[in-house]
Amino acid sequence: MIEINNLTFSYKKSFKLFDSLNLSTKKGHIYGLLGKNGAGKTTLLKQVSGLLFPKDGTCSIDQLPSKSRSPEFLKKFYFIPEEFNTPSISVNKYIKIYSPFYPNFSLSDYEDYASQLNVPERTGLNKMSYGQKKKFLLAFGLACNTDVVIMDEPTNGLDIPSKSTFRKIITAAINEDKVFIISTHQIRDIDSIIDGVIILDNGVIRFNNFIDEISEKIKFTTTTEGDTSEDILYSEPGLGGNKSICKNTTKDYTKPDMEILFNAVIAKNSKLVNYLNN
Amino acid sequence: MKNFCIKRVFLLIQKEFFENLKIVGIGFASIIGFVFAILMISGYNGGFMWHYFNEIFNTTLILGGIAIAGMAFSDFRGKERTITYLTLPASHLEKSFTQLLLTSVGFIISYTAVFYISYLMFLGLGKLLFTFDIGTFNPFNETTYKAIFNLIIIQSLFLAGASIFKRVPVFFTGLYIFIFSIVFMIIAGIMAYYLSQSFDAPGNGSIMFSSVNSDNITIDSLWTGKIFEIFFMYLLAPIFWAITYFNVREKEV
Repeated sequence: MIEINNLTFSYKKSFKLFDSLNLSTKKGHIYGLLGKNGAGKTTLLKQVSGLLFPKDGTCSIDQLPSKSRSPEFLKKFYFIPEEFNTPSISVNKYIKIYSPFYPNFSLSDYEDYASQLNVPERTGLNKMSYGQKKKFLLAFGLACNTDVVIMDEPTNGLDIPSKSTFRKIITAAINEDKVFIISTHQIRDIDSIIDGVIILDNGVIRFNNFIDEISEKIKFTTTTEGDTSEDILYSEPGLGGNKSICKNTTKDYTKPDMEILFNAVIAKNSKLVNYLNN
Repeated sequence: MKNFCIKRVFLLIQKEFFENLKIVGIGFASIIGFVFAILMISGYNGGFMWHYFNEIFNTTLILGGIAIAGMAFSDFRGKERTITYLTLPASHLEKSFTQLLLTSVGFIISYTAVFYISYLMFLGLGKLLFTFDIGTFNPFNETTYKAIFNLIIIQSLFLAGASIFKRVPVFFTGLYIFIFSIVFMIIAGIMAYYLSQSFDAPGNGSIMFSSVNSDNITIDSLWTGKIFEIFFMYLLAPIFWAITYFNVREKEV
């Protein structure tokens, strides 16, 4: 679906943000693109969307190069940026103007998502709050039924009930032909819905695994401070003991703790990464 | 053609129209107000301005056309709007062509129509209120056609500027045109000088190569003028339309 091959990109000549970066996504998955501020998440999403051009290498969706920004390529995805500017028109007018560009747009899907997210009807977009606009764009973007939906910090600005509804909608909207990429640094907002984890650190993809594979190989437990078991791949102090990632030798399934996994990867824990990749 | 679909062009026109409805409305109201102002001023000056209605129309058409072309690609004025615009499923050619169509044909037709209707409206009012001799205004004349032709050429520069500059494109385009025209005039003058040496200049309007006779070099200003004319009248606008297209194609956020 999304293919990134040997992507090299830099904002400044002296510093390469991406140097021969490779990434490939599979259909039917919700990927969480995680990383610290300034890790290159938004830049990577812009590269995929054709909003930035690689200095070297290629980005493509279904073999259509991003750089071409051809109508066929642009119909393949919908990009919901973190910051956006909506025109001063009503919701209905926006739908009337923009939906014909997307051949698979479904008005009934939009109405369903909009009602779940409590998007005001017939209201001017300029009269909506940031959160309401974001919910509108999420509903509209998902209703476009594009193969790929790229969301940059989608939960920023959403209230607590809307975050929960967002998770529900995303889970319902994914199917075997689609790919959702959700970039965030608020892992807790999306950790229950993603099934693929991509961790980006200083322009390098440090981790790219599916939750199933992670759960099969490692488990997340609490260990005591003096525990020096060889099965412990990473641990950090937490409430009531150390939060640890251990080898899953007993094949017990534990729900991955994204925060600790993220911390382990960002701490360049080669023991963990090597173990998962083997 | 995969990269040019007339349906998508209509969708883009629709988008531009509805998103800029307020500006369009203000523009139309300004034209009506302007025509009314001419009438009122003329009423107290013995119809002086009213007699120059055609000239006023041509001048404002060009000035308005420049402003409109400079305001094209309004989606490029902000990062967020640029993202929405560039990811909208339409080709660069369709996006560029839509802006060209709206700022040239769209503007000229709507400006002329509103101006003419306003004239007809206030003509009756003027006859009722004032005694001066009201001249006839006819936008369909040779001078206006020439003004439109020149406007389309000038607009091509401002359209390219609108696709390049993020802030106040009319000002920056004007500034660059000023600097460029000085540089260009120097270069073109030098080029024309050397080119004219390669042509025979019979002055009958036909271009003929002649064997270069270094002993008998004559510089015919008519030929220099012809080269300039060909460039400005027929090449400048297509060049800048192409520049606009390539700017849109290479635009990044």
